[in-house]
Amino acid sequence: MNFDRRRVNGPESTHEVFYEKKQSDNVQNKRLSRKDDELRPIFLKPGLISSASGSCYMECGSSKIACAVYGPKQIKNAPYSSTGKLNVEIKHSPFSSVIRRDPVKVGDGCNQTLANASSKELDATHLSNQVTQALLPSLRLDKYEKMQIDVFVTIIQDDSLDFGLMGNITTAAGTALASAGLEMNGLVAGLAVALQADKLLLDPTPAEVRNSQAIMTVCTLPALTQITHIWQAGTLDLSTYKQALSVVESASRNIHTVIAKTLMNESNESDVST
Amino acid sequence: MLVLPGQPVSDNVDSIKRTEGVYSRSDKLISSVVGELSKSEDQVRVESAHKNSQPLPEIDSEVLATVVRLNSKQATLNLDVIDGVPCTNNSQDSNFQGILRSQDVRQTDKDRVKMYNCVRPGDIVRAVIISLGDARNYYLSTAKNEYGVVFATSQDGNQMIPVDWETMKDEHTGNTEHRKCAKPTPV
Repeated sequence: MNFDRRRVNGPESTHEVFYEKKQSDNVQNKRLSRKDDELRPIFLKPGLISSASGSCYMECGSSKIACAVYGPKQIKNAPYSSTGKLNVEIKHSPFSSVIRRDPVKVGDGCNQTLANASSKELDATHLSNQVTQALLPSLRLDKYEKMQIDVFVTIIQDDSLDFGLMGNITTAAGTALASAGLEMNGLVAGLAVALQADKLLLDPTPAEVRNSQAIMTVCTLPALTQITHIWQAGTLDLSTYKQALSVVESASRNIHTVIAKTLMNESNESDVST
Repeated sequence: MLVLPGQPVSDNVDSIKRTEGVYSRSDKLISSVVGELSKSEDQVRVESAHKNSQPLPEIDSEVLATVVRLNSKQATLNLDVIDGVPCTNNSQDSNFQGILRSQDVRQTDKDRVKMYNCVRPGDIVRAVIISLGDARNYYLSTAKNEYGVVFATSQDGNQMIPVDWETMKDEHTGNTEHRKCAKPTPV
């Protein structure tokens, strides 16, 4: 080992750096492979995290989300509450997006002291608030007096920007809550829709989101035909808005079918194994 | 039949007396958990398919609890078994905590109860939940014959057997100690 420790020693051999070929914007803007109202396939796998009460892993496009539910457990050091409390904490892994996410700085949803922190932290806080709002109507929290339910979401890879991501997180978290055996009003499904040149694009890709006039995420309880949460940016006129809602409603039913099948399979499997 | 949350399970709300795992919404009973549906004349049950679904402490639940702390007014206990089902997530921060106040130990002579003559730290107590209590604790009571200490060790560390409802005896040394014993129940 005769090299100079005080210098930065380079590797013995080098390779030229190569970059991913940039697709032209035209190609990205058009939906070639699927129809406007077609969803990307969804993969759901509940029960992946064995230490949690319930969990779910979800893939959609190249987004990958892991979600764990802990509880219900007793709230300590808090005043008595006649309903349960839902905590949602969302974390981006550092390699989840093209721009590196700082794992230390990413804030959690319940921590109010982060309000004056940088915008990146606000993103995660804002996102978890949105997801909390979307999940609350699905849970029967009156059944969980003095209890606390924690939902931890890790975004392993993010391919759909906040709007689509929020829909996916809601779907994953809803499945995890159901697989934890918690009392729920119904299963939640979340979905984004983008308006681009008078066309409504379901489940938009990041490129589609960037080039859209308006985008909204709608979270629903398809079994009860209820909307739990709408998050919208940009302007939509009233008729388009109605149209968007009806498109989302029918597509959410498809997502609901996927969740239902997944949960059915899971409980059938656990029957066999016990 | 396997049902999912949000799935209607019955139309006639009025004739159903007892339900579990369902809720009513616009004249329908709707399942609220993933589980197996069983129906009869006056009851609808959806039994959760979740492996470690655990009953939550409710009023009138019978529990087995370990005494962890003791003072002259009350004993603090950790709930180990609720309605015959063991608590699965018994890590330090997620367990259920109960307290047994001196006035809830027995039915008579309440003001002359000495807590250290009724339970000691380490004892396992059978009790009933009388109130969901404040933020921190569930309130327990042993004011019935079948409730009280079911397992205790003496100061020498040997297991003791109940002699009467207020005394337990260490069989090895022959010493007796005071406890509020549970009446032995036939298995």
